[in-house]
Amino acid sequence: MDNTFIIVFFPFAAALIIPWFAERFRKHAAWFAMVAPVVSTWALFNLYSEWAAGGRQTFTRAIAWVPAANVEISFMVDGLSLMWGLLVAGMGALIVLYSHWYLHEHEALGRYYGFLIAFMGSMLGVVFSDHLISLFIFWELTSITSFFLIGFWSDRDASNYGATKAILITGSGGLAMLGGFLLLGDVAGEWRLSELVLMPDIASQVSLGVFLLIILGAATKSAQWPFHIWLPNAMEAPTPISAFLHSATMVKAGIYLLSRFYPILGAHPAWGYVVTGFGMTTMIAGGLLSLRAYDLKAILAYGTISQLGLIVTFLGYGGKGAIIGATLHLYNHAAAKAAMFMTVGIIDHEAGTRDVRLLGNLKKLMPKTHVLAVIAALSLIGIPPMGGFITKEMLYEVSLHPGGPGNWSWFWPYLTVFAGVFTALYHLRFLSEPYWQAAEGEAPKHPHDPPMGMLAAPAILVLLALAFGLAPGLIENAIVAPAASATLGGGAKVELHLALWHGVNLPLIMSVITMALGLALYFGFAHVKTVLDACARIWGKAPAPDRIYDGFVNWLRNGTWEILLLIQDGNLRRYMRWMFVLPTIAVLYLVWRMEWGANVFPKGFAGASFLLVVIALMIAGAALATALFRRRVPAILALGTMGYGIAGLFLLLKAPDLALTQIMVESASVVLFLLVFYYLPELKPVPSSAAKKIRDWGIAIGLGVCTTLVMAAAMNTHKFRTIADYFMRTSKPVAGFKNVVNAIIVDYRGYDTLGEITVLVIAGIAVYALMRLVGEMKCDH
Amino acid sequence: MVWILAMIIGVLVTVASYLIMQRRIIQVVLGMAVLSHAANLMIVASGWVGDGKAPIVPKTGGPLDPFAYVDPLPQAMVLTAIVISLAVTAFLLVLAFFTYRKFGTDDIDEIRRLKG
Repeated sequence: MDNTFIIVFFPFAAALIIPWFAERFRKHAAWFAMVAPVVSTWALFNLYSEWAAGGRQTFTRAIAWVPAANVEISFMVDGLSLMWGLLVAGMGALIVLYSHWYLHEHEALGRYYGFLIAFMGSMLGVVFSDHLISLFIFWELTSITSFFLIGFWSDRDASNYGATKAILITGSGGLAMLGGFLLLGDVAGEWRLSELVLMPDIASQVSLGVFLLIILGAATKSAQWPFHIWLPNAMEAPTPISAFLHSATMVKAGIYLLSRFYPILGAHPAWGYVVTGFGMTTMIAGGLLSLRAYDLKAILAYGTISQLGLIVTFLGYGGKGAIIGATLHLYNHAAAKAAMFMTVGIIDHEAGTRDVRLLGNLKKLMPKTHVLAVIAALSLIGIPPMGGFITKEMLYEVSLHPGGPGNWSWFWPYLTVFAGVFTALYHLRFLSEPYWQAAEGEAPKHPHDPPMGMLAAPAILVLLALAFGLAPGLIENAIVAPAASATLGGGAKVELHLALWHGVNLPLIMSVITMALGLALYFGFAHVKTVLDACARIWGKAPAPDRIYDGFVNWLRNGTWEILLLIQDGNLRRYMRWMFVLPTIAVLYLVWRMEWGANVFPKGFAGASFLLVVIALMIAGAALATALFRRRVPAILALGTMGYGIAGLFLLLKAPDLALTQIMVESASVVLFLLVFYYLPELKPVPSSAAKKIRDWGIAIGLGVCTTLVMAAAMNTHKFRTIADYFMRTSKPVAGFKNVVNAIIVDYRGYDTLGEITVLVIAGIAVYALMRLVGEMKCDH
Repeated sequence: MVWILAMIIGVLVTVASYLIMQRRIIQVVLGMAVLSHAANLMIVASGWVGDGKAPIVPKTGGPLDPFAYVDPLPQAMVLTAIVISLAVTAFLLVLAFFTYRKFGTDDIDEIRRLKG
């Protein structure tokens, strides 16, 4: 088994059996789930050494899936997919570890771990996929598994709302992306990313529409403004899920997609404007929204949105420096932000609330948690010696020499500093309000530090962030550089020499300015808040994305309900009307569109005998009489007349057996009708308006006309014979029948006849049973 | 011939669908009976060829031209269908009777109202 397939498919296989173990061994559920990320990580290390031994060349593994449509499940191994793979699988292991302490024993552990591991497999599938279609499928699988994970506490309305919102928004974006993929594959004639990357002028052949469709997929997934609205509601998920999906991996799938498509579409004229536009708007909107949130997870969610915006901005701007900066920041953010989410989960777990107004002085109450939160937050703010400092310096350095296209260079350093100030501000708030300041209210539980095991996962992440700062050499050229190189494409050489201390240079001065501004705003936060609240009052009147989403979803829900009521209100006759009208429309459309007529319909009335016309008039007249007679007996006699007319018609159609059967059956059914109708009231119709009568006759005549047209066309075209020839040839010699119809009934299709007899028997029994019931029933009317 | 057959079927379908759309169960039962006639006719007509003979082969045996006969398969199927439609009609009739005795009316809307 190839390593790539183990990495991606082992989690799926495990997800099928983990629920069984998790439900039975509830105390140890996490350890069963842990197998999946551990195996995937192990396979990833094997794959990494395989890749390193092969001179770090990109290679692919594929199995045909739908060869006719050129669709395959294929995986690509390069710096980028390896980096993401390690991120996803490693984080997966830590999340499972943390979940062990976070979830109570009585929760639906099977469902939780099953979907969690399936999500991990989907995410690994996304980052390793080579073929566009398999990328799309894994992409949607992440949306679906995330739907179930966000809605884990499905008895809460907010969870269901958040889950639905997430899947609607990311799912729509995914569909747009599929459209973009199909068009891209069609334009390029190539479906494999590994090949698309090598096509130098592909960007110029791609239209703006295709480009936007693909970007839309990335923007919805990575919660870019105005699609960010699903992320705060997704925080209803259990906190380990928020840490995993909504800060470290799934929301970064959009970033992955942009990185992957940077060598393909990066040269597209719209890339810079659209991607950078999304990124900057999101960065600013997320930062501002974060400052007004009170829920710790919401603060982090908006902070995440803002950071995603920052990374997208750099990807949009492009160029070697920006790509390296984005890649570094992505790693650092994943580790630090997930650790912060975990500390929030601990607070929630121990204090029973995440509202910063109810929390306070946690520094004394939860000292260990406090230390972890501080290190993680400082890393993201960019304080040495944490890894975040290096990436922050890197970003500032890049902003000074953007090296990308366009002439916005002057603007770049200001924007980056602005982002840095915001980052500092909301992270300081994240630390100060629960940990350092006194609480405004009372938390439901008295908080204290959790067991050590629960601290293990965030501690490991925080240590990683520290290690990255103190010894960046550990990953710079092993992981980050190849990823940046793969993002740049074209075999770009990336050598990194990261260090904490670069001497006093412009980036360091920018850092100092950022810190000064951040602290100033932090100490004057009351004023900042006043300004923000004033702004919010003005915004409140504008159509916010949230309100547009709610309005649209409600409109859709009510609209479908109304359509449902229109066609399915329990009134059977209305169903019948629809069933009669729709085929009429369909047939008329066919007649019109396919230009039936000349060659489809028969010409004239050839072969019509006098006898036929007489029988036809008899049948038609009797049928109409059946519908119009008001008295029981005449109506039944008209029905009988019609039946005998049809027997005559069968004779003309050269079906003597049918004529005989028809006469017998018709006689029997006339007797039956007479017997039963004797007990039923007269046929006098229920009074109904003339308009309804005209409507019913209109529908009926329309259907009748269509039937006539279809039958005339069908009888005029004998494109092929049935297996009649076989019956005709073999009837006498094999079955011994001269009458072929008889041969078919009792011999060739004898089982049909057996079935028919069975139906008769069952109907007879049912009739008998009903009559017994009627006999026992006292008529109370 | 073809047009006239098609028109007969059209008239039967018209009458049947009109009756099925009415409020009285009796009319619906009548409509179902007419509709099964229409369906049988359709199937038989589809196997009919202009100057074909009835599908009864000569006693002498030997090679024969299958295109000289109408298609026996639709006929065989309709033979089954005629008998089954009798069963269905009988069942529907008793059901209508049952409903009438139970609710004292055979107006579908009235029955819906009574059932609540």
